[in-house]
Amino acid sequence: MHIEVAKFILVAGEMLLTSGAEVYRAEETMERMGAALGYNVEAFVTPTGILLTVSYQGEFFTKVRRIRYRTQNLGRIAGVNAISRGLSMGTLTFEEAKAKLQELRVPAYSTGQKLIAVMVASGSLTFILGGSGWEIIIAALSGLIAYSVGFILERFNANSYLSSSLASFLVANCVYTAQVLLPNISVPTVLVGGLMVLVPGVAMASAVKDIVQGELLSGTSRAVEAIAIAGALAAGSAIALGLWR
Amino acid sequence: MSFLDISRQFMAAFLASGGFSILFNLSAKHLFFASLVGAMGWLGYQFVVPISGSIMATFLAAAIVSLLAEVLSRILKTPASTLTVPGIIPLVPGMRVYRSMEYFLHGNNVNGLDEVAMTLLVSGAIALGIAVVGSLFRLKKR
Repeated sequence: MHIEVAKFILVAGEMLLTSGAEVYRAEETMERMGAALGYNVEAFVTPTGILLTVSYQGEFFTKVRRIRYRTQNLGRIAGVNAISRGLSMGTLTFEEAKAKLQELRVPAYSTGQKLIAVMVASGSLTFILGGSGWEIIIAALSGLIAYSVGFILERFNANSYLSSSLASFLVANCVYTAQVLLPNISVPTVLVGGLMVLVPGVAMASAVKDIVQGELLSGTSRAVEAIAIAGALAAGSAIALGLWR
Repeated sequence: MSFLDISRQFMAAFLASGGFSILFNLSAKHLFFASLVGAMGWLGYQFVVPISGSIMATFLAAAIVSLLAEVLSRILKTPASTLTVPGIIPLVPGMRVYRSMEYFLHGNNVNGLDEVAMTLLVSGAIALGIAVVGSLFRLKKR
C-alpha cells in the first residue's frame, strides 16, 4: 500500500513536471495529495528530477525520478490539479484517483485537430502583426510545416534545439521561396507568425513564476532553456536568411 | 482605429489564443475562456499602446490577462496558469527577436543589441504583469 501511494504521487508529480507546470506547483500538489491520503510527503523537485519521501508511522519510502523531457500540456496540469482537489475534499477515492490519472495520458485533441489549430493560430498571429491576404495563408502553411517538423522529429527522440533550428530553417526557406513567387509579401511578418508555435512562451512564463515563488534554481534553469530554444530558432532562420541574401 | 479594426484585432487574438490552447491540450470546456482572456489582453494593449508605448502597454495587457485568468480560474476551478499561458501569446515579442537577428546578420550590432534589450524589456513586462497580479491573489492573512 505504501509503495502504491508513493508511486501514485510520483506519477502525478512527473505528469505535472513533464507538462510544463511550475516546480512549486508540483511540490505543493504532491504534498497535498499525500496529506489527503494520510501520508507525510516531502518532495524536492527541480526541472530535471523529482526526489520524493513518503513517511507513514515511522517507515520511509524514498523514490527518485529523472525527468528528461518537457512539453506543454495544460490539460494535464488542470487534470492533476482536479484529482488533487478531489482527494483533498474526499470526493475521490484512491482507486478512482489512480484510474483518473491514467485517463490523463490520452491526448485531448487528435493530430488533425491540432494541425488545424496550428494553421488558425499562425494565420491570426500574422494578421495581428499587420499581415493580410496571401501573407496569412502562407503563415498558416508555415506554421503547419514548423509544427509537423517538430512532431516528426519528436518520434526520433530529437532534442528540442535540433528540431527548433531545423524547423525554423525549413520554414524560412519556404517563406523566401514564396516571396519569389509573390514579391509583395513581407518575409518577417509571415515568418514570425509561422514560427510562433515553436517559441518557448510557456517555459518562459513558468520560469518567472518559479522565480517569484522563490524557486531560484528551477526558475533560472528554465529561463536558460527558453533562451536557448529561442536562440536555436533565430539561428535556423539566420542561416536561411544568409543563404537567400 | 475604427471599431471594425478593433473587432478584427479582437477576433484574431481570440483565434490565436484559442489555437494555442488546442496545441497545449487545454480541455475543450476551458477553450473559450482561454481565448477570451487572450483577446481581452490584446484589446487592452491596442488601447494603451498609442498613449504609453509598447513596454507599458505590454505590462498592462499582461496584468489584464492575469487578472481575468485569476478570476476565471476560481470560477472554473482550474490553475490560473492554464489560462494565462495561452492568454499572453499575442503579446510575445517575436517580431523583435526576428529584427535583432536580422540586424546582427547584417553586421549592424548597435541596432541588434537595441532590439535585444527591447525584447528583454517586453518579455520582462509580460512576466512582471503576470507576477504582480498573481502575487496579489496569493496574499493570505497570517
